[in-house]
This record gives sequence, structure tokens and C-alpha cells, in this order.
Amino acid sequence: MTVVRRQAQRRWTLVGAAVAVLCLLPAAVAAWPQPGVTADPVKLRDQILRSAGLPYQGYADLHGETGLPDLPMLGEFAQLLGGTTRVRVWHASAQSWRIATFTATGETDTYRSATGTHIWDFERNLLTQTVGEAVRLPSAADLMAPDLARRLLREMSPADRLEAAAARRVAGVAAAGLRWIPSDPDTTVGLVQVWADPATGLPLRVEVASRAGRTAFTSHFLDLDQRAPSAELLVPSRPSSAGFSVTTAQDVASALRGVGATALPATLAGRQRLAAPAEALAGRGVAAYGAGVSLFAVVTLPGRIGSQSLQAVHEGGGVTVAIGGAEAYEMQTALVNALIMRTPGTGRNRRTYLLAGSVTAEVLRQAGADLLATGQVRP
Amino acid sequence: MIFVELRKLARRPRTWVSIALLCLLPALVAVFLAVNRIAPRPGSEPAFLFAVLANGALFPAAALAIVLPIFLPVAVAVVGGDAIAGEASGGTLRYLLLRPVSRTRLLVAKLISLTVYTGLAVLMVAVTSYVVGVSLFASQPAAVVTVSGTTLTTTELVLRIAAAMGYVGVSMLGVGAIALFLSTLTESALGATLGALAALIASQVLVTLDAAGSVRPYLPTRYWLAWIDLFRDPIPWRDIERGLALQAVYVAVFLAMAWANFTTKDVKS
Repeated sequence: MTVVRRQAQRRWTLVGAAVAVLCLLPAAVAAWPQPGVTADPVKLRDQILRSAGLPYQGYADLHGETGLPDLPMLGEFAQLLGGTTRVRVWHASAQSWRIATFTATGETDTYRSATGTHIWDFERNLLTQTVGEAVRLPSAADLMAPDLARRLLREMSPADRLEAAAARRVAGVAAAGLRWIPSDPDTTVGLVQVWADPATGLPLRVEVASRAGRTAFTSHFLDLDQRAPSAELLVPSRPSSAGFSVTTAQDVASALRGVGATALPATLAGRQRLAAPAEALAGRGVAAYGAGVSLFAVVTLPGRIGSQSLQAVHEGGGVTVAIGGAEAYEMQTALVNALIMRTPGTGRNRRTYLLAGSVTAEVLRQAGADLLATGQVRP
Repeated sequence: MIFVELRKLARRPRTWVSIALLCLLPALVAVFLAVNRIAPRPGSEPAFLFAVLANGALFPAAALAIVLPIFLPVAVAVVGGDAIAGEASGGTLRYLLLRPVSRTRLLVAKLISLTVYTGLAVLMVAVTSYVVGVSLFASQPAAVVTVSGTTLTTTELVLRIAAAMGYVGVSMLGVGAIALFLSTLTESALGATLGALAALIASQVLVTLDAAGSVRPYLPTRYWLAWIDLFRDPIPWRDIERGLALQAVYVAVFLAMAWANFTTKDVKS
């Protein structure tokens, strides 16, 4: 071997070793032993449920793999459950917070304060104020780990299994974990895992898995500071060049009245209609049914949106199902099942219903059949 | 050696022609927008372009978004790919190495020359697009709205555009280092350029693929768009820091590989 070749070999060995170290570094960090944090799952759950007043600010990822079709009325909800959403949150209290949802080219900021909700939409150059509690689909704020964990854990029934989960590091915090296995055979949710700061009980990571055991939704912090955010960050600014609009919860209800004006029955598929705020809207064609994590919503869709949604589900891989004489398609995903159904008839007598939730397809079909059987009741 | 390389860069017509073409593309876009007054749909890429009709002072940011995905990396890959392979194919590499300068220093000088070219290109794109933006559109530098809805002062706007330019420039160094490494492997400048572009396209494809989520944080283009975070309020530094660190790793790794190959290479031309 020549001197030059030996030198080359030495240099390549050196570079190769350095590259190998760099490549192995992430795997080594991931394999680093997790902190030995243990917590009694019942006590941890209680601590989580008491954490609602804690302030925090940070950067988080919401990741869903449910693959819902892009229906006209789902808006950002389909993206939240079927992709990765980057969010930044500043949370002073349940009545005072801001959450920014990042997109590649813009941002939507939701501010909650005593005066209502303000939404800044950069891409529309518009600030919207909503007064009162409007009816809406779940947003990024509802799916942040602290809110989601508390909302889910409140639904536990005594028959469900609650176990400790292995500790893991989340956003630099050695978090204690719990594992909840719902006992209801009619839900699509097979497992919920929550990791929380054992010192404060603030949930830091939530994983929701399907019956098949596949994690279908994850909400977790990447960076976290458990101090109250500066008050000035929680006040929306209104640029002089931007538009401004005010809407009220009543506006939304009025719009819904125009949608269907259809009263929905008190029970569907053997499940009770949920009480307020959904109760107030049941006469306007919107209601939620069930209990625990077996929940589904029924929405009466207006003519054009109904037709577009029916077409979107059909073209998005919806499977035709037979429910009486109705035209019906269903979509099954890991966590959320949906059924869209247009009743027989013509003109004003014809209704389009969307049924969707974390229940099995059989439950939705039964609910659809019940809707057809009970008919539509004029409020 | 560094001065020699910089002088060579400045004297090459190709340098200025490529920079002029980079500046021309956003200017062309601005002219079409100004004439037709049809802005892209809000939320569509390139970032900020839909907002420039209302405020031309934002056009430098839109111009960076226009050249970043393809044209700027192509220009950097061409210069990086030509760095050593161009000298070899032109028969001048032997004469370069006759000078009492180590090959490592030559490599470092080439990288610095490439860095200067990248910085110059980004600067020229930003400056010309600012001039074009304020000339063709209504301009209110003191009323630029951040992505988060707050209003920037002129000083804040200038600082943020300067930071975005710096970030975009650094983002190009990873591609430049890959091209420089490939340039030490072959005598074909075109081959080295195409190789770097192939790596770039592969990275762009994998970044969008959910199935490649485990490797996404390590792809060279993963954090390219993080410069948009500089126009949020408050600025989220997380992705920007990761983007800078990632580019530093790519430059270090590919420069080390270029060094390992070039310093013991049998140079025949």
C-alpha cells in the first residue's frame, strides 16, 4: 500500500467515524434510559383533572392519521385529524388564552378573553370577534394535550381499565404516564395514553389508539414553559389594513335554523342525546349522542352543502350502504367513522344527514335507520 | 488563496448573469401582478405573494419565497459543482495545486467563495425586489403586518428581512457543500451539479412524505421554510435554530468528505 493510499484510508476512516457518530446520535438519544418516574395512575388522573387552572406556554404538534375526506363543512378539522399541525399556545387561564396554528404560508390566531373569542386569519387579512359560545367543530385549542386529556379522562367509566404507563421525557419534562383502556365495545377508541408532569399534573402528551392498537392521534408539547404568558400576548391586535367582523353565537344558531329546521330524536341507536349546549340545537338539526368515548354527532346539512358533501364522500372512497330507501355512503377510519345519508323524497322533504363519531360503523348505520324510521319532526 | 478565489468569482460573467437571472424572476412576477392585479389565492405559495398588492414593502420576502425552492439552489449547485470539477475539466487544477498552498486551504477558499456568492445572490434578490416592490405597488414600510397580525416598524421590518436573508443564505450552504463534495469526485462540473440537485429533489420529495417521518428532521430541506417564522410575532425560534444547526452539520460532513477525498486525490488534469 502506498503512502498516499494509507493517508486516504486514514482520512476516510476519520470522516466515516465522525459521520457514524452523527448518524447514531439521534438513535442514542432516543434509546437513553427514561427517567424513573412512577405515579399511581388513579392519583395521576385526579391530578390531571385538577390541572385546569394551570398556566403554560409552549410549542406543540398535533398529529392525526385518521384520513378523513376533505368534506366542505369539516374545514380545518379534517386536517387536524389527518395530518400534522404546528401550534403555539399561551395559556393564562381557561378564560384567557391564545393559540396560533401555523401553516406553511400563514397563521391563524385564536384569542379567548372575557369579551369573547377573536380569530386573526392572516391569509384572509381579517380579525373576527365571536361573542358568546358558538357551535363549532373541535379546533386545535380543543386538541391541545392539557384540554384533550382532561376532556377524555372525565369520560372514564368504572368498568374501564386504568394502568400506569412507562415514563417518558416530553418537552424536557420527565413525565409520568397512565394508560386507559375503554371497556365499551361500540367505541373505536382502543387505548388512551396520557403523560403528565408529576409535579403539577399538567398533561404534556396524549396518544389515542384505535381498537387495532394503532396510534391514530397524538398531541404533544415540543417546548414548554409552565409560567403564565405575558398579558400583552393575549390581546389581539387589529392592523389598520385588515378587515374586522363581529359575529354572535345567535348568528350561528340562526344560520343553522336556515340549514335544516329539523328536530332530531331524543335517542338514536339506543343512545341518549347529549344535554346542553347540544340540546339547544337539537331542534335545529344538530345533536350529539352517546356517552364516554362512544360519541357521535348528527348534523342536518342544507341542500347544496349536503349534495357537495354526499359527492365528496362518494368520490373520496365512501362505500355504499343500504339504509332503507336512502342514498348512503360510509367512511371508516382508524378513529372516526362517518355516514352520510340522503333521505328518499324530493325537494323540501329530502334531508341530508351527516353522522360521525368515535363509534363503530354498525352503530352509525343503526342511527341512520332510526333517523329514517322516526322521520323528521318539525320543531 | 481566498482573495484569489473571490477575485475569480467576481470576474466571471457567469456569476453576474446568474445573479441577474435570479433577480429577474421576481421582477417578472411583480410586473405581471402589477399589470393584471390578480394576486395568488391567500394561503397559496409562494409565501407573502398574495399580500404584496396591498403593500409592496413585503415584496423582498415574497421574492425570497419565489427563488428559494428551485432557482437559488440550482444557482448554488452550479457554482458548487463547478468549484473543483470545473478546474479539473478546464485543465487548470494542476496549475492551481502547483502553488505552495495546501489542498485543504484551496477547498476552504472554494467554500468561502461559494458562501460569498450565495450571500451576494440573496442580497441582490432582496434589494432589487424591494426597489421593484415599492415602485410597482402601494408601499407602506411602516405598516407591514406580521403573519400574527401585529404591525412592524420600518426598523423591525428591515431587521427581519435581513435575518430572513441570512437564514435563506445559510440554508443554501448544505446544497453547496454537497455540490462541492461531488465536485471533488468527478471532473464533470455538470455531473456534480446534477448530483447535488438530485439530492435536493430527493429531500424535497421525502419531506412531504408522511411515511418518511422518521428521517424528516434530518433532511437538508426540512427547515428551509422556517424563515417565514421570522415574520411571526413573537418569533418562534425552534425551527430556525434547528435549521441553522442542520445546515452546519451538512456543511461539516460534506466538507470533511470533500477534504478526505480531495487531499489524497491523484490529480491528472
